Amino acid sequence: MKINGVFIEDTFAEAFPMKATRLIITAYNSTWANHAANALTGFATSVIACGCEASIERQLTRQETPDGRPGVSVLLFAMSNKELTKQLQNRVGQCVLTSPTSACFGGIETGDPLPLGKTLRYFGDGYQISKKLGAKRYWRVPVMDGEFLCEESTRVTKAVGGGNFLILAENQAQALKASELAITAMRKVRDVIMPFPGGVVRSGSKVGSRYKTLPASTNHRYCPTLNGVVDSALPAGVGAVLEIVIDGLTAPAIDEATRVGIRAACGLGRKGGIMAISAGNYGGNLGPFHFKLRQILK
Amino acid sequence: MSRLTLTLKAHPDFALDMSAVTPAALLDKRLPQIRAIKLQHGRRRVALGDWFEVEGDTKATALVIESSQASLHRVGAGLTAGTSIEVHGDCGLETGLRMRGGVLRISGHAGDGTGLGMRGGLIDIAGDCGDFAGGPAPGDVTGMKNGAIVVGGHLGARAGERMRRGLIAAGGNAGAYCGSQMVAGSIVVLGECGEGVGSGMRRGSIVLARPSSVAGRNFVLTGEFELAFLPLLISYLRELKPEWAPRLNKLGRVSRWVGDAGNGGFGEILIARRR
Repeated sequence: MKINGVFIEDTFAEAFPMKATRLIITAYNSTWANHAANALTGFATSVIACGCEASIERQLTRQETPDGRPGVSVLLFAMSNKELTKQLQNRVGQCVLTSPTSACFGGIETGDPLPLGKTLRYFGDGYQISKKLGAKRYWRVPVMDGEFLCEESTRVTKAVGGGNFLILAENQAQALKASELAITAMRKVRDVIMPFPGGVVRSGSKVGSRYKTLPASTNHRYCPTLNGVVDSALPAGVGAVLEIVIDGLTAPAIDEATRVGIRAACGLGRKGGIMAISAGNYGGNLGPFHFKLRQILK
Repeated sequence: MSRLTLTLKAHPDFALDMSAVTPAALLDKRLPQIRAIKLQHGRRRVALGDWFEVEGDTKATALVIESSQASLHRVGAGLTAGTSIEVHGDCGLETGLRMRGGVLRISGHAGDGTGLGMRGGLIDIAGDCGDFAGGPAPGDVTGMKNGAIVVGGHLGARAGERMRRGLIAAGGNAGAYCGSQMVAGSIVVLGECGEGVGSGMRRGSIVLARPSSVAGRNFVLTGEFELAFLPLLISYLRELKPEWAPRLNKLGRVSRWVGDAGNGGFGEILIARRR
């Protein structure tokens, strides 16, 4: 299978079940909502060492937020409810509560509740105020610029983490350009995030290492500088590989993101230096979700 | 939607206790059984069928009371989630007493003690509401603990007395001592508010759309603010009473008075600033 001259390998991305939630962060204006969201989602590229994977899902208009202010929708993924709870408390407490004019709301209506304002309210030292409107409870915590408003809880949902595809190009600049095109297209898809810097990862990993303390190490078969030295998975002529990792609230959302991302990356075509599209998997033995590239792109 | 309709046949001269008449209590009873339900009428026990025409679906969770009068007391008492009562006309004392859920809509006025000891649900009154709305039920220490009482007209005196949680909102005026000894919860008054608002309040919020005399009492002015939670409150009220939208939109910047200091309280009275 080829798209615009770019070879699509007959392979699949292997993904894993995760737990996820959505937060809605609002502020006086979009700039400050993004400051809070960027801080919250900082150092959240991979569960390998960050505890969670998180990123901005999309920008929200005043009409889309609970308090009628500009906002940002953020998705957080972790391996367990316990870890997600811990990450929420630390990240919202240190990054959103601290950000001027911010407010924080749950963005998912069904599922088990995870504490949000329920625990952060104690920062109010007894001066916090509870407000229950309908079925939802909010906490008003006095802070130096007024009040930090936070919904009592958000909801956790079953999700999928680790969807991915690889862009194999002749050189670094071409791989980067194709990745940027893919990410731009994928950011229009709802319910997914690409948690790595700029949505792109250059250090694809494999499970394990020759060093016993490391849980993961470089995926040497996809490193072009090792081509010919190891059992490389790269065809001749590949000078750079970039990976786009996708976490989604549902498998169909990852399907859609994969489809639009690969099509956008292939827009550069073979003439633009894009040689092939592949995907990372572990032989299908570890993750229950398999995203078959050719089937998705049909 | 299927419904069961009770039409009042005559005007009772004195109190007719409707607390036994809720959708949950009537569910799955046949019409003769419903007509035989006993109601307290003064000192006597009377059959429901003596006073009401009964027709409609006996499996309905929605009950309609037609031609209702102020002598019908305790309408909707103990109403539960998933059920509703629509009242065409007025209601008497203790409407929605200890209500736990569901929706009680009244097209006319409601008497004193509406929503006493309420635990959940919505009481929506198109007209006026008597004194002590949302206060403690007889024998209780605290007032309503959840739910909402929304009044299109005026609220009587001592609305929300000792309320613990929930919302009381009035499109018209509120009588004296609104929110007195309030423990928590929210009260919104879009009209004028009588004297002694928030007296003895410990916590909770009273939002006033019009200026009110708080200065000189045990309340401290903390400043003028645009509080982040107000848009949420406004949005919630707009869902309950869409016709209030133009007036609710004026609740932007507020003066925040905190008290009642005489009671060691941290309650707040928020008074809208004129735009």
